[in-house]
Amino acid sequence: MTTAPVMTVDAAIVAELEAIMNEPGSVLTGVSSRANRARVPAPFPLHRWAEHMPAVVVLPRTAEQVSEIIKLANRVKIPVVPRAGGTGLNDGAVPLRGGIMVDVKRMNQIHEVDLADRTVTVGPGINMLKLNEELKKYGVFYPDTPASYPCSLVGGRIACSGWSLLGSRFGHTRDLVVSFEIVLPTGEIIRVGDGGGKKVRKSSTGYHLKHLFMGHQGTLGIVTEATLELVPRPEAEFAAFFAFDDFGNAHRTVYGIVTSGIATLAGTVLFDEKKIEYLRRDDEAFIPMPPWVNSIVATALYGTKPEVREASKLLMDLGRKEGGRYTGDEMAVGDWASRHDRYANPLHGRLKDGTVAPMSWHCEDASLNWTVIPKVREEWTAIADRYIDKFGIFDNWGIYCYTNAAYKPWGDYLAEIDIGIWEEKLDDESWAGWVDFKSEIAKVSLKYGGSITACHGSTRAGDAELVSEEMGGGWDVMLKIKRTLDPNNIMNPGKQMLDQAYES
Amino acid sequence: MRRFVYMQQYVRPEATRVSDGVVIRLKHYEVDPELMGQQFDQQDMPAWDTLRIVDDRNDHLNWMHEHFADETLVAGQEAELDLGAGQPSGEPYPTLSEVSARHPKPILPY
Amino acid sequence: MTFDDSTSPASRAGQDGQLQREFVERWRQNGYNCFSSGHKFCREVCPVTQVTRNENHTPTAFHANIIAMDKDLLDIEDVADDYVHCTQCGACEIRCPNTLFVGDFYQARTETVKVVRAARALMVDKGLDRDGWKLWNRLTNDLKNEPVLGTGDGQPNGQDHVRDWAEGLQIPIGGETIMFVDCEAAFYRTSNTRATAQVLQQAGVEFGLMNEQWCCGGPAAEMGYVEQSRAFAEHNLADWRASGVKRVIAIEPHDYIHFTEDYPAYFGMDFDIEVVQIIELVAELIKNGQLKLERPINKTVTYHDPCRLNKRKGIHEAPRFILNSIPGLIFKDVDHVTQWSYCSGGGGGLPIEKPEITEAISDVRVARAKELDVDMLVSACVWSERPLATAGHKAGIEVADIIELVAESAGIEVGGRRGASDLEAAR
Repeated sequence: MTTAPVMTVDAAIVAELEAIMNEPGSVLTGVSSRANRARVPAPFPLHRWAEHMPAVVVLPRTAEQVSEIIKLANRVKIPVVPRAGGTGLNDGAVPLRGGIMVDVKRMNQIHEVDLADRTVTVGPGINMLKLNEELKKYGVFYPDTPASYPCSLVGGRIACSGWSLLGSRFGHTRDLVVSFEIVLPTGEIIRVGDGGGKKVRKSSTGYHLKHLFMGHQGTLGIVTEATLELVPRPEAEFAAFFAFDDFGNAHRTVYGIVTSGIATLAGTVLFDEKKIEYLRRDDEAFIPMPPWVNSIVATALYGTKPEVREASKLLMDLGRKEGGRYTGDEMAVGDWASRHDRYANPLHGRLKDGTVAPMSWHCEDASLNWTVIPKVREEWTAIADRYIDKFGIFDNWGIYCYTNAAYKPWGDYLAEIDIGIWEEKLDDESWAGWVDFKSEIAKVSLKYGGSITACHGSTRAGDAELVSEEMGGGWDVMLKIKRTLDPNNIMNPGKQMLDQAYES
Repeated sequence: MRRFVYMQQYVRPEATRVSDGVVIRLKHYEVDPELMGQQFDQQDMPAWDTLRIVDDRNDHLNWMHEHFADETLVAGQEAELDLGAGQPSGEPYPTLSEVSARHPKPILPY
Repeated sequence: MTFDDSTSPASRAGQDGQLQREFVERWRQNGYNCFSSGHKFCREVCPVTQVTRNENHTPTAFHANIIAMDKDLLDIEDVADDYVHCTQCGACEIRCPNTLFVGDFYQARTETVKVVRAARALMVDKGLDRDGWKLWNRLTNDLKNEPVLGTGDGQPNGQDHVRDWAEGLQIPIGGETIMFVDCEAAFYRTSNTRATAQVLQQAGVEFGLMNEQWCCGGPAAEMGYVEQSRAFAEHNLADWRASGVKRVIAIEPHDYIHFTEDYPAYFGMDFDIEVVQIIELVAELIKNGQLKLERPINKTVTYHDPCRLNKRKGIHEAPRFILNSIPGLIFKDVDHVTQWSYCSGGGGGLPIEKPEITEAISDVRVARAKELDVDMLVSACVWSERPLATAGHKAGIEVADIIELVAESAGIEVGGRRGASDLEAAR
């Protein structure tokens, strides 16, 4: 049994939704409301837009409303797709079978700031930058900062189990969300944490349900409230970039920095040769760089001023130990501050003749161990070259490798290869080519013992087919959980091959 | 005080090439206009708009620093890129293990 | 896969279809550059989206709609109401990474305001324009000024009254430099206008008023009435030329935008008039000693960056210099980048069609000022001062124009009406 697509809803269902919502303008059936909630920044089959529209959109304000909507959907067997910011680099918030879209942007309240036990409780529709603007006056900070920091919303961060640029110092979304409220696929409203306790960070009671629902991609319910960690606002930050003429030297430099024991180290970023080539096109810090530069290591420290000041001296030595050259204070300050915009700044792709073409951004986000990065880089680059040659609508924007572990900078890395796609030129053949391209890249990650996604999720075509392979025996457990919690397969159906849960 | 005068806004000085694909005009990097116009058009941007974007970008970057920490520290050292690449230490580093880090194949219950 | 195709507008053709196709053709690239990026950094700075939290009203949607029209997924009819939800503040444009980080480099940036205006122009062409805007612009066309106080009860309007605010100030007509007086300033908040004229007189700036002053045409352009806007611009330029005007002082940010963006677009190289903005002019008069601010104002204030000065023109230093030059004043500043997400809600025709959204936006803005524990919110845009003063009255914060404060500190008795501030105070 799988859920059938529902691309239109009848007047009776709209009337029921309106009765649940009881607010003018909160049940939207117009084509503009539906068309504008079909895509996210992940590559989109533009030529098949209409297939990805929800049938109806609701804008709830309370968990009770969400619960009633889900109960209705169960009764009439209509798919439900939650949407927060719609900024994911996966397509979790893209409907595959129409249905009811539950858009949580109106649930953006700050319910409580608890400075004694150090939490803030919010709705899923709040953005982290906006939250931190409010928190500044209390001297505290919620340090979940992806490249989409100015636009992604807390609900989506939980649904994707997000990654933060400062995660090695402060943790990632799963570490920073203490507990959350979720409406289950059958409509019950529950709160999940490590154990019980809304503000308890460590527990050994029961199963750790927070971790089950973290990264649910909308397939196990809708988050309606979250209690988040508050950390002291950093007194000082320090950033430094080091340039190399050899990727191996840069790669070893990262090892030296992350194993140094510097506790204020918030992250390192390794840039490969194609990335430098890409940045030389339009980034004012890279345009004037001498030709020998083909790799960069970027680093940043956050903490109290005495800690950061002392650690920065150590960091400056470590950055140079394998031949790195400091790129100067101006770049350290300017380029670190541009990390959100620049790292999310696609669009200006280049065709083979060098001319500029408008492209969409695919960001492969594997989790890889340090040792395998050089091999993976070679294989990914070769795959990209092959597809660029064949289709002429792709562009290789190079690789970043970011520290990926929480509260510690060593071990594994979020390795991303950024690929530009000229979506306007997509047809069925080139879209199929793109999915193969994506799949080949993901298979390399699996071949080297990695995970195909560190933070975006595995719902994309080209990833979804590989989830069972990565999960091994755990895949069967996932299917049982899915079928138990969502007996009618209404929550975000069609994602991650989870339809298999209902095939028997 | 800025005075808006049409001819000062829309007449652009000649550019100098600085690299493949990049020119410099008014001490400011721009894409080589020859790479534009085939699939991606340039706009008739007045001078004030270019300057405004540059100023706002710098202000925004400063804002980001202040948003994340009370104070931004720097090394206080010159850029070293003119020296060419440095010498690696030659120290040994761990290498990729022969034994795969992957989980063993699952034993499925059916 | 089944999906309902009945809403597809592909079958709707004829001349209406041609107009839409022309719109799509002109704006498709700008639309696609946003649509394909999809990062939505604009959403949380957009003043309308901040209060409606409806993705239909985001700048991203305004661009995506063009692509959807191109793909025959929807028609302008389907999105006409969405395009009303915009104050044309420009926050989305500057916050877009495609503008802020590479717009200067590629000499191509996100142009949401132009997209919204063009969509509204298409609405006008297809008879989809909103009733409130239709009436407003018809009256403006009849009166030659905007009906900012309505037309009932013997309300003065038109050429016979456009200079009533200047009574007793003995300002000449014409001359090389003229002060262009916005409709809201001429009829509604006349204290602002009187203060401006008297400050310039006290500083020894020679200026006159226009011979036959019509509305600048900007509001018509913002609401999509392109021909009317252009006709007003042609009249005004002809009037300036006839009386030998070389320089226009724009005392109001919307006018400044119109004179430095729309007039150049209408007239190209033939637009030979120099335009200066009053706030920067007054800052310069203070700097070079022509204007002395000596009377203390013992108040604690914060400053509202008018969107068209800050977000659209990068004018944010001059007003801060002015406020810091007033003796006795305690100025609690909020930086201009934070204020990219602030707005009064008063622009782009929004208060005419969606007054409840304007009110919500103003309430949010005033609440932010209230948190700073100030007596007064100071703006530099007369259009913002009406909704802000209304919200301010509710919250217990006075709203004033920066030039009114300058006049007070320069020892000038201003006179005139302070619009909503007076009305609210009288209630």
